[in-house]
Amino acid sequence: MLYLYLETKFMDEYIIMARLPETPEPNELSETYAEICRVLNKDQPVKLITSMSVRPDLAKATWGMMKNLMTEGQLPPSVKQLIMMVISTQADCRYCAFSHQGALKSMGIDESVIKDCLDDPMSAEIPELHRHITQFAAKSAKNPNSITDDDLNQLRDVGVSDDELIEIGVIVGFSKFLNTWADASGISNDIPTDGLVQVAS
Amino acid sequence: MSRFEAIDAVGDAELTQIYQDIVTNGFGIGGKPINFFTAMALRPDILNVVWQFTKAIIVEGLLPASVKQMIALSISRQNNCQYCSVMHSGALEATGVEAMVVESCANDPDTINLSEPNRSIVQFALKAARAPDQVNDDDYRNLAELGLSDEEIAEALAIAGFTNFINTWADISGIHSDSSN
Repeated sequence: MLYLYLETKFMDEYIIMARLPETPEPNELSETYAEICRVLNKDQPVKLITSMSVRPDLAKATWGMMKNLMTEGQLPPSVKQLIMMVISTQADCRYCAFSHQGALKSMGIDESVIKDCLDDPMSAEIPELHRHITQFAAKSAKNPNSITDDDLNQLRDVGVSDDELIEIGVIVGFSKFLNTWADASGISNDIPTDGLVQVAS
Repeated sequence: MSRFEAIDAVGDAELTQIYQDIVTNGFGIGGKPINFFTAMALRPDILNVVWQFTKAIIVEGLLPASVKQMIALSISRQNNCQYCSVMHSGALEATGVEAMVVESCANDPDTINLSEPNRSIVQFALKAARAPDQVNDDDYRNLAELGLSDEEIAEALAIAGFTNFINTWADISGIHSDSSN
């Protein structure tokens, strides 16, 4: 089942507890935390990274991936967020679904577009190219074994370059890393479930 | 071989350096990085961060190399990722474990033949990778009681997520086993 988060609060307003103890201000991570706040334009570093603070090395490597894949590269940031939103909502990862739905809304994407992307990306009011990319991301995250040459060639046919295809493929895979961490570390547990609306089965 | 052009690093200083670091750290065959990496080399920026991520989780860290590979093999098999199953089966063997350990991770979802605490670590990672929302406080407590530190539990979890990442990329990129190059 796919859910839409209608909450308008920001993530910072919730107290989110990870199962691993959090080091309040680890010196080794002070530069990383400052960079996260600057790059993501936030007052606090994201919980996904602070929940790794017992292992600054892993937190830094994960942030390196997030920074490159979410804020740099060739695809528009909104398309990257769309990919991650669809995958996370489909995986029922509350922390990631909430974060990426919120990121899209703050980019000015209409809630009805988010809903349509979850229900059937091909019907959403977004550029045709983005519909195909979103549909591919949802399929490849759910069942990577099922991906064939045809799936990639369909994207090439509508104008996706191989440079972009690689970016899409790595973002899909990395979303699964993030979903795994967010749920198993316990940070998804504190995302409110009131106000959830089921948008598709 | 993959669904993307195989990139030769010759003449490209940045790519040459990344390729060398990958090979030096044991992820090469015949002097070249394994297909997992070369398949994304059209995008050196992405290859670079993925390699740094791989290094932090698989090359460095606290858990023994054999335990890291037990986790990666068990999850890759359950996710039915052929490329990663072959690679991690070989990597686990290379750490010098008994054949029974490889067999258990490859073919027994309950890994009953692994000794503790390895069996519990692998089962924790499998649950995290396959049903992350089912992981609970008791799963953490169980590992702590077996003597695992929070730092080690964090690493097991990161390897679980990482294996889901590599399995997905391997299937999307359509990489073939490196022996077929």
